[in-house]
Amino acid sequence: MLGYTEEELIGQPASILFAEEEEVYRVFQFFREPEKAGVIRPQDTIRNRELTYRTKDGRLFPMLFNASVLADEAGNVTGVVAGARDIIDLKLAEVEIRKEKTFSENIIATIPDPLLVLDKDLTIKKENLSFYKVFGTEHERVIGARITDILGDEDGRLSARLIRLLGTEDNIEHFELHYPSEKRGERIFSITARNIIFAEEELLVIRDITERKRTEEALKQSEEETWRLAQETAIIAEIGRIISSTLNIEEVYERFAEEVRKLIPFDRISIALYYPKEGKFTTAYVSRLKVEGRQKGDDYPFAGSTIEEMMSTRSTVFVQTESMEELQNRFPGLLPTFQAGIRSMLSVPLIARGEVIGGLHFRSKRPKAYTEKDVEVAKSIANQIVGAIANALLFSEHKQDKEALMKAYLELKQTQSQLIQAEKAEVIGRLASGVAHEVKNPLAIIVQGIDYLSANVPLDKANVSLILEYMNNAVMRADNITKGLLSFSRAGEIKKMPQNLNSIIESSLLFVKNLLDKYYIKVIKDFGKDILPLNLDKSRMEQVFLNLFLNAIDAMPGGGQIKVSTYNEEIVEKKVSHRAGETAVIAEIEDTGTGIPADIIDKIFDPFFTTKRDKGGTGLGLPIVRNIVEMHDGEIKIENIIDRSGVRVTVWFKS
Amino acid sequence: MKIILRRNKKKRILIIDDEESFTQLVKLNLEASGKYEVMTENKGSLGLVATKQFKPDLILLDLIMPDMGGGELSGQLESDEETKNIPIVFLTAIMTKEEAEARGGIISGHQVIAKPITTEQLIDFIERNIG
Repeated sequence: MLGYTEEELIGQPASILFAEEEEVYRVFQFFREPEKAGVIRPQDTIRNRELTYRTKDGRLFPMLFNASVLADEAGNVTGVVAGARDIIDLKLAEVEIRKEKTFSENIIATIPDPLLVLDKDLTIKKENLSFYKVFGTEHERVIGARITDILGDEDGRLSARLIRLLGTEDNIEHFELHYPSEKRGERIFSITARNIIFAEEELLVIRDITERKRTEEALKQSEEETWRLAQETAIIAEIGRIISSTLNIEEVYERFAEEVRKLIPFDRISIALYYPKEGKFTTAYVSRLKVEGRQKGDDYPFAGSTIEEMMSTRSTVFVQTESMEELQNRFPGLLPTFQAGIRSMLSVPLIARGEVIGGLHFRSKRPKAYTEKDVEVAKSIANQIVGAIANALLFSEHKQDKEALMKAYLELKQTQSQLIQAEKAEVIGRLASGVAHEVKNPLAIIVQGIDYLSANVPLDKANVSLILEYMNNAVMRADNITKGLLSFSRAGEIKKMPQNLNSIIESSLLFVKNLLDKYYIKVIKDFGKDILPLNLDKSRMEQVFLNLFLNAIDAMPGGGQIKVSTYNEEIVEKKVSHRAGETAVIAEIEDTGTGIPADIIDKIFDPFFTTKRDKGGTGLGLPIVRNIVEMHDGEIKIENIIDRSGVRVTVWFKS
Repeated sequence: MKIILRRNKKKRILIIDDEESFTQLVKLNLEASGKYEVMTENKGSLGLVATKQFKPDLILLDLIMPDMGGGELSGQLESDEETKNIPIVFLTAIMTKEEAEARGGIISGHQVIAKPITTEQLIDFIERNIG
């Protein structure tokens, strides 16, 4: 193998077989200088020492050298037995391995991702430069540290994963890890762990995918946003369609709420509007959760409300709190809402033509239910509906104005006719006064004449007595008319004093007690005990009620019932005598008589109109009654009762 | 005889009213009762003279008269020593009986009677006022 023959080697120093004298010397020195090696031990051998051999033709190659010392019984070294094995193949393999190793180490070194080799205790055995590039100076030295100390593992999931990997055949695993970097914020790592089974090691390749993730997230968000925007646009378009499809604002609200719910979740939605004529806010629409005092038609309390805030800031009010105290300090008006279980409140002002005309309120029981995005959406929804609301308000205002105009027109007409009536009454009054005086004097003469004739004409003469009686009756009737005329003309001369209406009615009833008994008429009194005090001319007012009772009695010759009621009432619709909102004291007299024929009901207040001329009626009773009532700034109405026969007289007094 | 005459002396009533026919009829009717001697005067402005002349026990005085009203005349009568104690009763057509009663039957401190009035009522009234 070395190229030598046996003859050529025998007697040659062993060193010719080796590449270097020095090396041979070192190998054999302990044979030569056993004292240097300490106690000679016959069993001492050289095993597998790698030495470079030199062939006869000078080539060098590695051999694995083994040698044993031969010694005699006394322990003296007598010789060496040596042998060598060709390890050139082994060496070549080793070079290959080294090359591989260098290669892989180069790869490891140049790979841009951090790479770690862990032992079975998850202690870091190797790292690469990229590790430090990624983890920076936060970890100066990682060899010997546990991976969990580096990457953190509060929930133990990382170590569990890695340990499980060690014990399985599955030798590779990918997972993501969120790493709170002190300098760079939270990073997201994709970790590939490979189990190097024979070495009981794990190779970890850590890739920082934060940017990628973020990009992905942003993309996803942008996709979602796009989808949401499309959805939003579609819904807002639908709202627009709803709004333009009908003028019925109630229907608009209903369908609007339904659509809006797809965009902004709520447990309650409401719309409060400002009604400038009444000078107040009113809840115009509510859907879902009921809140006491905040239901449809309820006046919206202005102070401490979100509306108040919106009126002054013209911007959205966004309250999400679990603290009643906090709410009470900021918006005491929202307390009932909070008490109904609402925790998130989003209110958007409804602004039309630059004016805050109301508010759109979203309410959710869920804490922190609304986000800034919801605020934006709510704003655009509010913009969408505000036009419809403004139009509807204008429409209803227009309608109201039209109705008010019509009402005013009718009132004007009525007032005009009343004025004409009053003027007529005044002229009649003045005339009446003069006529009464001018008539009474001749009547006085006739009365005296009748008296004279009664005393001086023989009464036994046919018909004289009868004729005198006729004359007397006629004079009395004429006198009654003059009395009525005078009374009518003097209704203006009244002396008002604080009076109790109930006792005036009582005393008027006393005047007619005999007639009531005579005609079997029952009187039911329903007097309000709390009626407001009135300023009345007692005797004039007694005259009024006396007249009314006499009329009722006349209408019930076969008996019947008179019901007299008094009560306070708030005036809802403006009257001639009262404004809306004023409290009137009302006296009401209902009989069960024959009622007033439809063809004369409009004439009952006309002076001298009477259906009872044969019974001495002058046609001045009701005109006087009305005059007196009007002189007290009151109002009287006489009507047939609708569902039965009888007349109802209603008198409104100014309190 | 003179004493008897004085005892039976009729009460003297002066009626001052611009309605001549009325005054004449009242005079006839009252005098027919046998209790009164009645003088009539149809001009308010002559009322004071007539009163001084006639010296009535009672004056029936119309309120509304063209030349001088009863109100003014009553003032003259009240301020005259000779006539101030003579009771005056206003007799008027400007108010009703009820209105007169509502005022307690008194105007300016004098009784008031509303026209028309029957003789019987008038006598009753006179008797109550000068009885």
